[in-house]
Amino acid sequence: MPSVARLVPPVSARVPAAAGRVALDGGRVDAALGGGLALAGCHEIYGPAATALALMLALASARSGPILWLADPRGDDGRLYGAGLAELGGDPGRLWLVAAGAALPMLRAAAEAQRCAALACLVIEAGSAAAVDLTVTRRLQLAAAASGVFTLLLRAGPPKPSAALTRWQARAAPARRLAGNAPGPPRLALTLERQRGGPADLYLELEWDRDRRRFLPANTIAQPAIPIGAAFGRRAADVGRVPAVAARRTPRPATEIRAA
Amino acid sequence: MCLPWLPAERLARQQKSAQPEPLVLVANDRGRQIIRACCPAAAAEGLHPGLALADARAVLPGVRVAPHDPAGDAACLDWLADGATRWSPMVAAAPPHGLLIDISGCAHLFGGEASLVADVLTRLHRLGFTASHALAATAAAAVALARFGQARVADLPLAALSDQEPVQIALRRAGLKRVGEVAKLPRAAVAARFGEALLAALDALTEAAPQPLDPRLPVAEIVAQQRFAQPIATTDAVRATLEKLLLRCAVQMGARGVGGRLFALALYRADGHVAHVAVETAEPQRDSAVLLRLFDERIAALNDPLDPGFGYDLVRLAVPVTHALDETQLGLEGGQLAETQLAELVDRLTARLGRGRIRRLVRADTHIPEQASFDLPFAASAAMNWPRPAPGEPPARPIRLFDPPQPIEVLAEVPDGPPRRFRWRRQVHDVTAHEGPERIAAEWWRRKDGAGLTRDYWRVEAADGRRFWLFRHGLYDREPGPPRWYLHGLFA
Repeated sequence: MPSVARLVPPVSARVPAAAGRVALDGGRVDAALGGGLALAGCHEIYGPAATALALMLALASARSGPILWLADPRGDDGRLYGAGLAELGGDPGRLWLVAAGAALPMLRAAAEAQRCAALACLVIEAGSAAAVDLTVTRRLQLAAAASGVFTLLLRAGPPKPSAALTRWQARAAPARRLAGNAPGPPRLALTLERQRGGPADLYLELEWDRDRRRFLPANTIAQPAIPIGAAFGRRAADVGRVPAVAARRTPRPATEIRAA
Repeated sequence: MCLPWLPAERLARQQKSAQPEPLVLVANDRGRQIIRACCPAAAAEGLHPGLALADARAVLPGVRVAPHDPAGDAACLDWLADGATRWSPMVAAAPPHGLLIDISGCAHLFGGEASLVADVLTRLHRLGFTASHALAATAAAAVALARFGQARVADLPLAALSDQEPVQIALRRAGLKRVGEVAKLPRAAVAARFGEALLAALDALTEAAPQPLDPRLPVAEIVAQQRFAQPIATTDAVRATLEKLLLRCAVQMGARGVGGRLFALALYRADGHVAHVAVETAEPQRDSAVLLRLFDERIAALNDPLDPGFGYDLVRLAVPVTHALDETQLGLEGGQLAETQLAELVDRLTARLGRGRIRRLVRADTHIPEQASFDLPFAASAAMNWPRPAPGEPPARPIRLFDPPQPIEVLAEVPDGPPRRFRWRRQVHDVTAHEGPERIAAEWWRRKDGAGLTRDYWRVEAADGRRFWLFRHGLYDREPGPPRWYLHGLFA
């Protein structure tokens, strides 16, 4: 199995993120965002992979300091799991959880946290709280821009009016297959639905590089060919017997991978 | 202080009825209604605790009856003890009727013992409580003297030594009537005949073995207080007072080289009520501006806002928990500043949301996933080292964990094989990729019975790309019962 590092194009081919921004695909989408996702701002995320994207963005921002996580009191998707965060490449000790209990205390705590520039990231798990309206998001955005605290607002769909810099829909995308038909590193299918003063409606698939804490565009990573009909019950020994197929594979665009 | 009519007077105070109508408080005892407490008017008619209600009605047909509530009485006594901290920090409730105040070293602040006692009695009277008092060198002696209305320990009746009827009868049969007579006897003989407990009670009454007072609240070393001849009632006045007290405490703490971790503000209302507001900090702190802001947050977040009523006539700030804190200089590099900022953020959030609301993830040395990582309150946790995952491998643990795991229906090709399709939250997911099993056995070495089922964990990916962590609870044929499937976590 070739390692991720060898499959990624050389670093020189990737456009590095501008200062104070975090790189996503290092290409088209980053350019549309003005050089990456702005750290000094409030960004809205919804969808089944919102938690994962928020944690990955916080790690990719490469800021020191704790990640303050204001947890949704009504969330029913389980608790944040320290060992899982460690497996994403983060230090679980840096994740500080705040159980505010209700939407209003949570927003007050968020305002308090946004004044503290020593935070690496502030994640507000708003869920479907009705209290988070246009005014609140505008306040969050202004405070984030003023203090530079990277603010992520996790919401339950469907989208509501908001003054955040960007809005993302985050879903899981099928991962690369490893030996034995095992799912590979996490892959996310992101849609930039809205961007204030910029192009939107962009789709991209990113793979999370845990060891270097960065995103890799999925379409630059070669997908090992999997013989059709062999999705189930494959043994590790079978994989080694198809070198000819593996040698012929070429990078394919993201849409094709999704169709596969 | 002894408050013999506490239960009846508490009820009268609650109902705001001042008529001297006889009142008895009764409780059920083996099917009979027995008087547990009564008011002075009823006692004057010959009613007393222990009498059956039927007998009492025969004596006094018009007597009012109410249920006896010992828990309410104890709470009332605690409330009174709280208010009594205005005279001395060492205050304890001595149920059922007693209130102990250690006034050693405090009396001169109130113009001597006599005027202190007068002040206590006046305030209790204003609240509607009749009290008798006694001053003694030991707590037990003070309680007994106040209860039996005697001036000397030697004159106390035998009931002060033991409230057990057989012991009292035995003493009386030996010709003893007063505590003084018992004290004159040889100790060995008393112990042999009446038991060690009697000797211990005797020692507690005399000064031979004084029992230390167990104060209701921990006594702080650093205290600042302000009394007002004219009670203050406005928020601004309270805030200004608090600022002054914080400064005075800061001076005391600076002199000792310590900083406070806990700051307790007590506002004594003129009518005896005491309001408590406490603020905790993550790091030792003595900066009055920071502390004032924390108090502002705390007061703003109170469930029941401060009600000054007729005003506060005593405001006291105590620092019960302190830690060493040296004079510091702000670091030139940003590290120190960031640490300070974060500590202040934690303090403000704690003050606003309450203790234990900020939590940190910690790990435990176990293989059971739900016990291997959990969150603890910030103050109770420390940063730990987490094992680094092997490079190049996909994540083996989910980001979110369900605790307890959620039961699912699973279809597998072979019983021991990987899941092929499963239903979770009324939705069917087709498994397109899987890895496993990762077998985690029950911790038989920790459980005495050695029970517990083995779990086979699978990392699976569904057709829509979502990745789940499933496990089969139990092994086919080797462990009892048909295995069940659960969904334990969600990956990215």
